[in-house]
Amino acid sequence: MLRGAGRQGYGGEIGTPGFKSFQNFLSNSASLVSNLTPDENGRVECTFDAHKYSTIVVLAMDDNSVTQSTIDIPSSIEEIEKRDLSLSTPLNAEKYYNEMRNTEILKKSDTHVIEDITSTDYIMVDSLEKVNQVQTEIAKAAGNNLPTTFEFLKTWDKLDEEKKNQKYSQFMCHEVNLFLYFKDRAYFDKVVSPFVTNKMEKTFIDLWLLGDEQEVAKFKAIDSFHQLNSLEK
Amino acid sequence: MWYQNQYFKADHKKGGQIVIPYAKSHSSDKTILINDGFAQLTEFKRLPESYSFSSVFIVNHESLLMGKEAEILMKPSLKVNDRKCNLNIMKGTKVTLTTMSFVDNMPITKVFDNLTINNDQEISVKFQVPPNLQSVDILLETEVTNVSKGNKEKLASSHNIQMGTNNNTLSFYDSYLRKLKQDYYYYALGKNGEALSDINVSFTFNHNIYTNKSTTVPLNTDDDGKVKLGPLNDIVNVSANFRGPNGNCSANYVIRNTTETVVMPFTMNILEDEEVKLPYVCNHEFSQDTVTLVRYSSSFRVIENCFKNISFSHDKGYQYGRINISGLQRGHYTLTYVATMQTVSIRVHKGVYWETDSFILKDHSLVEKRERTSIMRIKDIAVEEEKENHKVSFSLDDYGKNARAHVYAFTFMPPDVNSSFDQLASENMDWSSLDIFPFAKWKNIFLSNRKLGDEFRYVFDRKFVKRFMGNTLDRPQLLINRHKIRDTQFDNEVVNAGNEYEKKEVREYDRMQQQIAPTSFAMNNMMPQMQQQMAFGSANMMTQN
Repeated sequence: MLRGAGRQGYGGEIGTPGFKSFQNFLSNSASLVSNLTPDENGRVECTFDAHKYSTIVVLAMDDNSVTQSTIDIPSSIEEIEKRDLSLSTPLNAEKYYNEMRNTEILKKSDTHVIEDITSTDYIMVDSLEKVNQVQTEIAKAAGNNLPTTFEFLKTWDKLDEEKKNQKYSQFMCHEVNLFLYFKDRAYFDKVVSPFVTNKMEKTFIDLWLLGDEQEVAKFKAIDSFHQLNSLEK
Repeated sequence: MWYQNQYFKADHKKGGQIVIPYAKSHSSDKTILINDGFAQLTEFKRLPESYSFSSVFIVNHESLLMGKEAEILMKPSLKVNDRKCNLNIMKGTKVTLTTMSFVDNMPITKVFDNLTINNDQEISVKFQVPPNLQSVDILLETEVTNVSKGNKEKLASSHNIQMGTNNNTLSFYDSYLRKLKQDYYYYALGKNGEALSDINVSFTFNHNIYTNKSTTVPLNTDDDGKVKLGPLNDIVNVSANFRGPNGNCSANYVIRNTTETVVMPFTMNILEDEEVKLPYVCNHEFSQDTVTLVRYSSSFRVIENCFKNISFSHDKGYQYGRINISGLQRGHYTLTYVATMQTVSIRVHKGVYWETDSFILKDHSLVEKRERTSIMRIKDIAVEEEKENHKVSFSLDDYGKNARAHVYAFTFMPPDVNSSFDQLASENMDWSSLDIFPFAKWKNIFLSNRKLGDEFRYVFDRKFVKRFMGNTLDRPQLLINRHKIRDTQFDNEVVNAGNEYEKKEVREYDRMQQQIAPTSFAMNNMMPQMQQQMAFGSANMMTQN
């Protein structure tokens, strides 16, 4: 009944009891020493800087039971160690500032200099795994869930020929064809290209993949160009 | 055991154990039990392989500080048909951690995969706490192979932490409770940790016993923004409320008066005269006012005060003492810790331990005993100063398999310091009911002889008399000479009547004994009877004890 009642009437903000972002001023986060196992005498020891805390909790358990001991740290200092979260170097009120997001595409051995590293958050997307993660997060932010259909492409290079054929038969589409065109040209030339060549009705992407420049050039006409999607354009 | 066209042989080395694989679905069928030239027909209910998965997430309230590394512990629990099973069968375990910022609502996901699961360790993941944290979602996923169905089952457990951010309010201050060297201190601090001095705070205290009444006291904060509340002995709850410059601020804390917390079993099954040791975690002296032990009749009437069977001892190194209970005879007892109103139901059986101490063999049943009669405790706990660090040392006593410990330290008290403990205790609790395996030992309640009447005896004699071929001499063919020997006399044969059985007086106990242990064939199936179904005070209660 009592537990969790602490946030009632708390300015409209109700969080998980005890978890508050206002605690960020503490200079020391809670210390945790986990998974300590007793020696043959049942003795357990650990070492950490305890004087900056007030209370220690020991939580012990085995397969069937759990027990807890709480002790006050005798040498605990009364003063609470804090860190200053206030804005130490305020921005010039005479100037105008805005927040920007940017993307740079770099090739191997390219360099890019971040001029103000202190006020810049950056993330490097340098693997297919990360590309997938970023796309997943972007989809989440837009309220969607990225389908997991193309998860197999992340490990395409590790698949054997038979498995590749099986996956291609199952998931053949423009997206997969484009991926293979750029990432596995040998397989594209051997399997995908003959298949696309034999398609009765070829689309813009099909023609482009086959390198049929003459046919592709026909899409320059305004009525045809208008029907292409952003990527095709 | 002959079941569904399969023969299962008992393993005599394991006390006659028969291992029967799980079925693909619920099935119940006739089975034949064979032993020593005898056989018996009964029914057996075969359960499917049904897994359930859950996890306790241990996150300290002060670990999620911006820019700091936070560690989250996870204690997974895997059960098959409500029985705990080995965690090593979990494969492909991964943790997905999603943090959400309150500035742009952008989720950031981090995946910890290829985690190794050990029975003697909690799963641990560490991550750096991002700024402007709004929430943390933790998803623990794993899979187990369902052997009977021949597929892999995906199992998952999740936990969500919402940070109290005070967004959309002007309240740039909060309440904190700190325990420093036995005394509690209340702090009113701003968002940057600045003290709110001379603030009038209204404190409400609830007493351990007088829980219905509360006392409210207004106190002012000092220059450090704090109020000394003292040791708060026998106080179970403190709430603080003050009206700040931009709105009210309130907080509520559960105060734990004891520094040691243990899990008491709900029920204990012991033998007559067996000694039981239980912790006495109480700040008050041991007396009849703090602990009671009473014996109940089958109709739930108190029939005896057994306080004399309890002795108290306080061994060196322990924070609290222990009580030893001994000399109990067959019956049902209830041990009550008055201060905490914790009760332990003690069932004393007349019997012996069978094979291991996991079963009690009685005259008419086999009682499963899953609980331990000793409770794991922490002793000799000490914090010693070393050069720059502190050494925390302690000993575990009466611990079982896969024992481990976690030590965490913090500055401010959480709303309830026992919240992780309570979750672990609840998760650890074996909610599956204990089993009683009854077996028939029929006694004839009509023990005297019955004398049959002569007529019946004649009928039976004639019925069962040995038959011969008959006379093979030549039949007489001519007139037979008649010779007078004596006069014909007629006697009256006196035919004795039989009598009825002398009915033995049946004790109520015997009658119920017969009821609890019907023949296996009469039972619907061979599933054991549950102890929990034996409601206290029911007719079957007597037979349990």
